[in-house]
Amino acid sequence: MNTILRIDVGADGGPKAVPTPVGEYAGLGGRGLTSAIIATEVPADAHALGPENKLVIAPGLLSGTAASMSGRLSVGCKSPLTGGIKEANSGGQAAQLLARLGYAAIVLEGERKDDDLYVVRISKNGVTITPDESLRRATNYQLMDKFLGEYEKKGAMISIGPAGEMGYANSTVSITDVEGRPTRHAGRGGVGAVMGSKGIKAIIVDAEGAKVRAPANPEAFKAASKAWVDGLSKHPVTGEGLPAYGTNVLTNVINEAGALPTRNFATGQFEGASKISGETQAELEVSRGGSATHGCHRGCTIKCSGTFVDKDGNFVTKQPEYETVWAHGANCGIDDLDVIAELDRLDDDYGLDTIEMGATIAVAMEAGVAKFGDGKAAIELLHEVGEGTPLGRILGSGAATTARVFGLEHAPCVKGQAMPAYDPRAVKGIGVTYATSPMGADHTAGYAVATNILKVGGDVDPLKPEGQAALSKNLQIATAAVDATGMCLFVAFAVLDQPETFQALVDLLNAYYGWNLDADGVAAYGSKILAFERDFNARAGFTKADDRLPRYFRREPLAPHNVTFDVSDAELDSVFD
Amino acid sequence: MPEAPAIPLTLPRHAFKALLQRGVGISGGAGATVREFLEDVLGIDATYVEEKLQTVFLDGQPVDDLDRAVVRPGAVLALSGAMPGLAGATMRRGGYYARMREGITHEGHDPADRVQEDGIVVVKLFNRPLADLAETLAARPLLARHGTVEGLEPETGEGGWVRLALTLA
Repeated sequence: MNTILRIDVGADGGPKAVPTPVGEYAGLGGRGLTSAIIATEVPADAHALGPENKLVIAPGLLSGTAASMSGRLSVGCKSPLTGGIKEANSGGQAAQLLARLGYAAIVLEGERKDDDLYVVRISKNGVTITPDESLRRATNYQLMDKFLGEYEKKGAMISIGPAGEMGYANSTVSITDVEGRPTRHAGRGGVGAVMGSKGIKAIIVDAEGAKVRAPANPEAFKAASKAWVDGLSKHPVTGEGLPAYGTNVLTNVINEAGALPTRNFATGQFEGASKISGETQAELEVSRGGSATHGCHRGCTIKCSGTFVDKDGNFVTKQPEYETVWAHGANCGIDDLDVIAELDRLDDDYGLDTIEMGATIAVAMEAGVAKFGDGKAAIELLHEVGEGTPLGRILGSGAATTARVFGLEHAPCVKGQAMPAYDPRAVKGIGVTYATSPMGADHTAGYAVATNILKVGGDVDPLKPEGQAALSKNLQIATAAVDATGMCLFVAFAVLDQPETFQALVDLLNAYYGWNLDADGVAAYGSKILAFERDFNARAGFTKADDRLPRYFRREPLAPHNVTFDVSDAELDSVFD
Repeated sequence: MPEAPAIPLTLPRHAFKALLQRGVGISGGAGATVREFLEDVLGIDATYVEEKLQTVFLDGQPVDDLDRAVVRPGAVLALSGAMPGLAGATMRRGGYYARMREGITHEGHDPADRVQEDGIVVVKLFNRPLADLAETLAARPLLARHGTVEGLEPETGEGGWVRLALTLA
């Protein structure tokens, strides 16, 4: 991974790929690399869809190695949704394969000279870029049908659907899974629109002949790898809960806590939760001949995904994740898993972020565009988005824009990005991260629950009043570090409870690169990434006033616990002071 | 308190698991601490309680200390394993991140104040405990709320509850 493949979309004669040395970015991977390149090379006042913006696609530091769970791909840019820096993260096959082909990143840059759509093909033999007008407005599954023969054996496809082509602020970059389906997405922040603005419709990766990346210290790497897998397998979350039920195992629990945002964050409990829970979903999938246990990329130990089939056993979509089930389910008052699965399929096909889309439909429902609980209407709205009707284009611009268009205060967004599936009035610590993350409201920004081991900035007593801000900061630092490795964030649970598993992760990095990182070094790495991101946002015009939740979360109590978000502005400001 | 005869009911296992997610009624045991209720009333092994029931809610509030939370008549007790995600970590009993859900945490009772009371306690099972403890609950007298089980007529119970004579298919 010593090469950055820069594709100048404005080159004479059409887009041109130039392999360049990784240079000053050496030692960075995943989110570390995407944020470093964006912060260094993109003017902070650039328009997100303008020629000065860039799209960076980067495997993690351990992607392409034999380390389990290392298949995450980071996609970074200035976000069309938030106006700040963005890293969206995805599973799928592409990270491992790009890394094995030697690429630390692909950078799409420059100003397109025409309106043509291009397909980039990357293999061991080099890079070709060809125009293909037949792909205009093609959906991701249509692209799969066209190109699967090229990548199904040892390849992957990175693509955008109509949402990315149309420049929607809600648009994803799709990554194919083990079966070659476009079910994995760098979802948040509108990264697909930036790819679309560069005129690149699809990147076909062919890793035929590429080898697993060899570590500097093979014996130490092998030992660390074994300890790593053992740690993941024996932990009750990574070894039992996630494989059995997927992330949707959270629906019942978060609902019980009164923290499941329901009907556009009006209440914290959904009466239909048990009908859409992970337990019910797994039972339904298995009874129909689908699967409740499936990995999104080869080398995954946890296997938190699954396969959702219809009543006749036909594939519909991958197992909808918790965030999707919440966004299209409880948040829209819909308690039908078949409807939710269809919405998930449409999101993947058009290239839409399920969180943003579900939050947007809920806003539209509150505005009276459709009734809460009307699954058929939700499906029709999503088709409008995919087809680019005037209403669809509004909805495709995200929840904040939709609320503005319909004159609603209730836009559950921070920095223009919709909140995920945890109401911050009930789980205030997550609200602190929603408010202060450089990414906008994002649950994964503070996901790496390993801060008690990392001890970032010294020991924090989480029971002290000031602990809330300190915890959020440390979680964000730990998460940034994990995002740079290419490791799935779900590894954090085993790392949280088992110090030897955390050590195994550090050992993997050290054995691969010949480093001598310790916990402090990992923390410093995460801090450096956040510093890049916060610096970019400051130059883009963000201030402390942007590190806030919408005021109505302080004013309107959330049932059943009747709690409001009462973390003070001073405490929010202290997160990064 | 329903004293009507139990209604014979045969349920497929998946339907019983769906019912357990919504909650079944347990008559007797109110006034005990959560730990006493789990071990003495429901008969769950003490080691299982300590090691597997990592996430426990009493009336929707995450419980940190099973010995300082008292189950009152009408209470809802929900049992879960360790959960993923930061939110899952915050909900864990006595977890490092418990501070992050201040405002909804069960504040605890003085166990000296507990007195045995009549009444029904609603028990919900999720995820791992749902798989592990369904048979245990099926083997003891249970009540179901009207409307939570297909086939139960509204007039078959008292006070909104129906006593079940349950057989798993």
